[in-house]
Amino acid sequence: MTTPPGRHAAGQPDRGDPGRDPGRDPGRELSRELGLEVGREVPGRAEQQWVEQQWAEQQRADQYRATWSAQGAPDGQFEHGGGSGEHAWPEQRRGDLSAEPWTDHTWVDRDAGPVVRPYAMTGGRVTPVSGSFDVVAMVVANRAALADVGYGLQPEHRAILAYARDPLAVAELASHLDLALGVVRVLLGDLLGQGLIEMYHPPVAGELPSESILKAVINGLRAL
Amino acid sequence: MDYGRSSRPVPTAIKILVAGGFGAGKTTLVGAVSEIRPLQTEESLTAAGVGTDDLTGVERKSTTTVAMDFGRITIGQDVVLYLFGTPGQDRFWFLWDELALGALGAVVLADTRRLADCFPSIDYFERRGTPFVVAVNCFDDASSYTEAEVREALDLDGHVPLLLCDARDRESSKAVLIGLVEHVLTLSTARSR
Repeated sequence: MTTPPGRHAAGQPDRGDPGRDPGRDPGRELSRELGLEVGREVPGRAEQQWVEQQWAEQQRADQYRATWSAQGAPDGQFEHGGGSGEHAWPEQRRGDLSAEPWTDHTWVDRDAGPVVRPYAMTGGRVTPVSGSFDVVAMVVANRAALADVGYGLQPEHRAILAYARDPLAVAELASHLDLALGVVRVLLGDLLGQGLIEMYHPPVAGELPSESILKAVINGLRAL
Repeated sequence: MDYGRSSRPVPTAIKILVAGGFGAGKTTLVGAVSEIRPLQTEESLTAAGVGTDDLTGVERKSTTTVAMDFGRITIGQDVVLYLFGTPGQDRFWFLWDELALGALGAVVLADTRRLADCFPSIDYFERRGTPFVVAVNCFDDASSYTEAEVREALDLDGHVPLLLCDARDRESSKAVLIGLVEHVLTLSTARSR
């Protein structure tokens, strides 16, 4: 079998997930961006907490891995790097068997892919119940509808609503959530069916944008 | 009607594809002009891909994940450009169909050391009628050819622009994108006459 060229392939550079920067806290940044004040009861608090919780778990996992790699063997003694909060990825490439003698295969940790199969969180559904979602279609959460949300939504649905408070393209959403596009499309279909989001579709295929838009793009690119 | 949603206007999203052979500099070009660190998103092979994906030997495997890079350039409040680096392998053609749908146009990156690598991309966009430009990524150790020689080798239609670029350089990559949008503008003007 040919190795899929995704992030799971050995020898691929690390993903460079911007959220992995130890100085940053996406949960907090998101809430700041959204203008949510901590301690005030506003809709979306649950989503915000969810994002923060995910982040904290990620931090713990990273720290665990960093300590493990630094010591060279999983001997169960974990030190916490002097409490500096810095935890660099090991220099050794993942998949280097000589460097990681305790592994008998090349895909470990994050390289091995998600623990949960992608479509498990859609209950095995691969087609959205409603709508079609281009990679650059814009998603906006419908705030009025958000007020009485609460039942039947999974954490992933809520995370989408939290991210899509301002217009966001489907591809960006998938990237932020670290979910495959197909999975995000199914989840968006659920939300669209319940009237919780609005979709703004890109220009129809075969129809070029107006000349004024094209000229604006050219000028915009020149001005960059 | 206002449903109380975000006050930020919803911009028009424009999609531009960056294609070319493996290692031609697609990711580099996207990274050079994107205002965000290039993001990755994953697409799974679905039933639609079964015809094109070579499943010999892995018949029982029903999904394959493929990563694609993308970047964003915000043009004012109203327009956002999204650049998508198309997956390099022929196996993932099926993904292109969806990506190419509604795309403004494409940049085909060519490496003169392995010119043949970009033939499939050119064939694909010609067949689909997607406007495209060919950008020759000038690698340091590649012997230089004249534009006419490259054009000849690629058997390009006369109206398809051929540009020289350095995908690592922001200005150079910007010029390629501008070249593409100008090409689209020319086509659109010609069509409306």
